[in-house]
Amino acid sequence: MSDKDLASSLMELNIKVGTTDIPQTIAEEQNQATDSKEEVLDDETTIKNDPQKTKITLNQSMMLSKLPAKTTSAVLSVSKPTESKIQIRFKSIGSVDQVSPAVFKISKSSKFSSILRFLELKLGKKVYCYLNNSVSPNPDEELENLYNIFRVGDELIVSYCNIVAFG
Amino acid sequence: MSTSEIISRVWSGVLYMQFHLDRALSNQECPSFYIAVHRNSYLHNSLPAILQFFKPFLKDTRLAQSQNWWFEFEKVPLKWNFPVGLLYDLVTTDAQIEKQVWEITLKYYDYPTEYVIPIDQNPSFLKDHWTNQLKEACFILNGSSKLVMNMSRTDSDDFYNAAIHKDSTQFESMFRKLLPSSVSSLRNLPIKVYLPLSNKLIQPVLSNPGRKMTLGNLLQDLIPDLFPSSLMYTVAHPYSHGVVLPLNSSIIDLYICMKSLDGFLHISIKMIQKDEH
Repeated sequence: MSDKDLASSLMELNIKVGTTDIPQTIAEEQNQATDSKEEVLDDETTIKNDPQKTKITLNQSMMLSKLPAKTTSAVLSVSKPTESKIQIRFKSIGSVDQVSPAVFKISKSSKFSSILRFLELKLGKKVYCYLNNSVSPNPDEELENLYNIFRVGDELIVSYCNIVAFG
Repeated sequence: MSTSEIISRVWSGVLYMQFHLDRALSNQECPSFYIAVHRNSYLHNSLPAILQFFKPFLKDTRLAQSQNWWFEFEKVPLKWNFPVGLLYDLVTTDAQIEKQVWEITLKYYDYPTEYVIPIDQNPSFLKDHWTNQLKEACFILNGSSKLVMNMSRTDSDDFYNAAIHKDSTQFESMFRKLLPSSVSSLRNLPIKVYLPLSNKLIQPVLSNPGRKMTLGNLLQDLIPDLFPSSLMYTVAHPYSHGVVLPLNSSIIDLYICMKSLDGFLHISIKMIQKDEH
């Protein structure tokens, strides 16, 4: 695979190479341009997608470009984010307001931080979020994994509270 | 090798590291700090020792009191919430093998919030993170986090201290309490598989995994593009704690022997680099 093809494939996956030379700057600018184009605002029932961003080292990107083309495309294709959406149900704990509607859709490849940010905007204050009324996931965990582990029926139930509810 | 021998080797694995202080933080020529860091620990566990060394060279010595430091390898920020050995397996390539030490830069300014979770201004941020990982692992094993939630304060402190002081015997005895009584009541296994570009990790869902299930079965099922065969490696290797894992080993045994301090078995997938002749 040519360096140029590889660079653009990595860019599509939100992966930057940890260098400061000129091609990177161009990549960054293009990346920002696509970011703003794909920006979808929160609407009544969908939460904005917030995909994982990653950096790899120059050695890692060189290693990739030296692999057989078929292997490199296999790596790129398994690294693609999942397109489909999942359903989230919000439940408030204690005195904090219940968001309405309680059910939202969000892309599987989003991070848990997009849920935290969405609730904070909606409620105007910081909240603590829990799955299964016990686990508070890391902000950078992908919703696809959390959904596979914690789903109840076909929903991921997120309970939230304005104080630490489950220490 | 027995299970307990493997567990004790997992806990004694170290990486030889060389820390550089970011130039922006010092006015003078600053030497590097060399230290052996346990693979099965967090970078922030070594931060007090690192800062004690660099403190006399800091322009602003007050920064030595802060936890808000971050680490960088070849211009790539490292996640503080991953064990050190996992970070090494994720970001290094064969080019690292010839080097004697792993060179890391210690940074303070321009925290890379896009790539690394911000550090909560709470002195117990690392313990909180660890507890949550353990709760998640417990949920995956048993279908409920009760065993961790109902732990007394003393027990959970002892458990955490065993983890960060690498007291593997104490850690194992606490950990056993989180395991279901028999293999048949095991719901799933806390495993995280990291793809080669590190932008995606997969947590497999194994419903009632049996002793017969091998790592080869799991990987072939999960990522057939990189593991077309369950019996031999062709394009990629699975690593944990710096070693290539055997495809024919039982996934339950691997979990018991090679889980990390957070209760998860972390497997990083590395591409097989063929020598150019």
